[in-house]
Amino acid sequence: MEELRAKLKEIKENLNEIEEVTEIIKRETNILEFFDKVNKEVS
Amino acid sequence: MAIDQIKLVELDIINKLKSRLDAAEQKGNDVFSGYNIPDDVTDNNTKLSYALTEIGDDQTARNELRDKNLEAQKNLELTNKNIEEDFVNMTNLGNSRIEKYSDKIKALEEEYKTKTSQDENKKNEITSIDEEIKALDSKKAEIQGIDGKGGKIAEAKSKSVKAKDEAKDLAKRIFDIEAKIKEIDKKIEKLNEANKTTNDPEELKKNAEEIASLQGNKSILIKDRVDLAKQYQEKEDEKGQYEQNIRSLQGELLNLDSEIIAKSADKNTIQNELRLSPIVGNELKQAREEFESKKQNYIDSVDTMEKLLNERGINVKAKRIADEPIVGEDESIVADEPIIVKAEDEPIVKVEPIVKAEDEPIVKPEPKVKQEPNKNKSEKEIKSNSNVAPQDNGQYVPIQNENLPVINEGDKKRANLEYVIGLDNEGAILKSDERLKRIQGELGGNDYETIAKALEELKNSPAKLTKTEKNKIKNIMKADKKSLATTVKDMDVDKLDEILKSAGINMEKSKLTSLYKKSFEGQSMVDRLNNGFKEYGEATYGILDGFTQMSDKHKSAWKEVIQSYSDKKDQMSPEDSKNFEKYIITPIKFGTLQQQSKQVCKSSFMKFFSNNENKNLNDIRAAIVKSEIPTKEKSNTFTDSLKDQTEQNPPLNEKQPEKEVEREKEV
Repeated sequence: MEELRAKLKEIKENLNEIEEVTEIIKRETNILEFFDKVNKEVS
Repeated sequence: MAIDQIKLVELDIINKLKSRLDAAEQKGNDVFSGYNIPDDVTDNNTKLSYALTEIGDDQTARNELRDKNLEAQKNLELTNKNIEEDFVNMTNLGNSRIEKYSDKIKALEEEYKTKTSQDENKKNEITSIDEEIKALDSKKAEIQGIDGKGGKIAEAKSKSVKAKDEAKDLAKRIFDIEAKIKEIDKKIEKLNEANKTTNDPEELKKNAEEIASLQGNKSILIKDRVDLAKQYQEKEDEKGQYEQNIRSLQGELLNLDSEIIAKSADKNTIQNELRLSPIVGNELKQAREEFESKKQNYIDSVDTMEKLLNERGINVKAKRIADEPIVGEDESIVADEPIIVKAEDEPIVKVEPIVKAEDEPIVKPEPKVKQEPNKNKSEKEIKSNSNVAPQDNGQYVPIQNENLPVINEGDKKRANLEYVIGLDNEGAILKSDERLKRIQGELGGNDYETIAKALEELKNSPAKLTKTEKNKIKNIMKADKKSLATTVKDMDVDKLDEILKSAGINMEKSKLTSLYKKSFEGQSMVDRLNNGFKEYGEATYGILDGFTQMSDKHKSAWKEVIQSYSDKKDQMSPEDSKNFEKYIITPIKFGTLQQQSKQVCKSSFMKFFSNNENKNLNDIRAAIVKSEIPTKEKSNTFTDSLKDQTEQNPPLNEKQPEKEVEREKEV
């Protein structure tokens, strides 16, 4: 059980790898949306 | 591919994307440079709001912002192809990672399930171990007794002691016999000596009989001694045997202890497993929840981006990842193999990017209607205002006073605005119809309508403009603001150093760099500085927001430059002096304004001070007075006027001149 727990700990510590991708997708989406928003607002 | 290589590839993809996004965010941020946005605003949406408020209905300014925005996108190569590639790369990477962690968590859940299914066995095992330990304890008790009493060891020790005592007793008896034998031997020897000295047959006979008796006793004693010695040896052997038994029992005791310790360790291990079981189960559940949450966020972000890209004409589609049952949570669910989001096999319909600067029709700013002086205007009106020139259409524009240098178009526009804002030479407010008439002559189209409406609303309180009103007026100033920002932007540390050195100021490199950073570095700071210049100029309209929003350090740095210039101007080379004048001093040098403008400035500026209790304004006023620079034309500078006015009029918040008060009443 200790080994299992150690493996689990390692997984939890690295789950942010998924978050990292999500953040990049969100960032790019936000940037695109914002450029679109500026275009829309000033048109 | 090895795991390390995979990680390196992933890292490379991510780093490249992050770099691009950093650049994109910076470019997006730069789009708002040049607008009057407080430093503490970091959110681009808020910046956009500020920019839009500032722009108002000014179509030219709107077009400028849109062009900057499109240019930023173009520079970032945010083409459909790049965006589509990003999407594919990111979804491939995201799905790969989700698959990886999904597998890992699932494996752990399986492992956990297997382990927990053995919990009952483990409990039985513990019971079994307990019984074994109990049996071992019983054996120990047999050997060592209970509470140190009784037991095989104690019994053996007791017997050993008894044997030892008996052996000791036997030894004592042997010693006694030997002593008696020695005594007999002495007596016999003594009788034998006596026999040597006598020939008496009677005495010899008596001695012989006594010696025979003594030897008989000795023989008995020797026999007893042999018997006792045998018994002694038996007791010694018996004692040795008991001692051996004791050692054997003690060894057995140690073995039992070791066995008990080992059993206890096994029991502890199993107990620990059982204790950890719910804890790890909970942690596993949390990890699963965290994973599911991150996965959902990822899916949502993919969906959002997919929708956005589709709206932009980029035909990409990502599959949803199939929900997985959590192992052990619902046994009835048969987990499907997770379907990982991958760019679909179907061909992606390529479309031209929506955002493509060259495709966008660029709305060129409509040139301002340049008003020509109207020679037909009445002489009376011209005389009433020597700085105003009548036009063909019967309207008015200010003209240049040849005795006063006009530095750039911005000053002309400013002067025009001061004129059309509707103050007379004394700074008094004109009646609204007269003011509107001027506005109509100076401005055209939408601008006119906007400004006219704004000014109409302001007729009773020109020094208390609302933010929107200020912004509307500011829009008129846009054109020369941009050019000023460009010239200031050309400044760098070396240039500043050169200028200051020419002025006899040798600053330390660190101080120089600090001063440069505070005053010039970065687009936003340049714009702030530029705004600061403009706010001085626009003080006539009661707009001092830009300067009052400057940090104290920035103000100090700026004042330092001004003061240094004032002190060292004569030592500058003509070229540096010219540059310094052009880039730094001109914008706040009211003496370059037309005479009428100076008067307007003076009046409105003082009125603004009188109506405003903001202490920062005292600093501004002091800075302006300090920045006084004699012009070559020896014109009456605004700062001269201001000083005069300051001397004539009470300081801030003190009694205003009666004339001013009367003017207020009129308004």
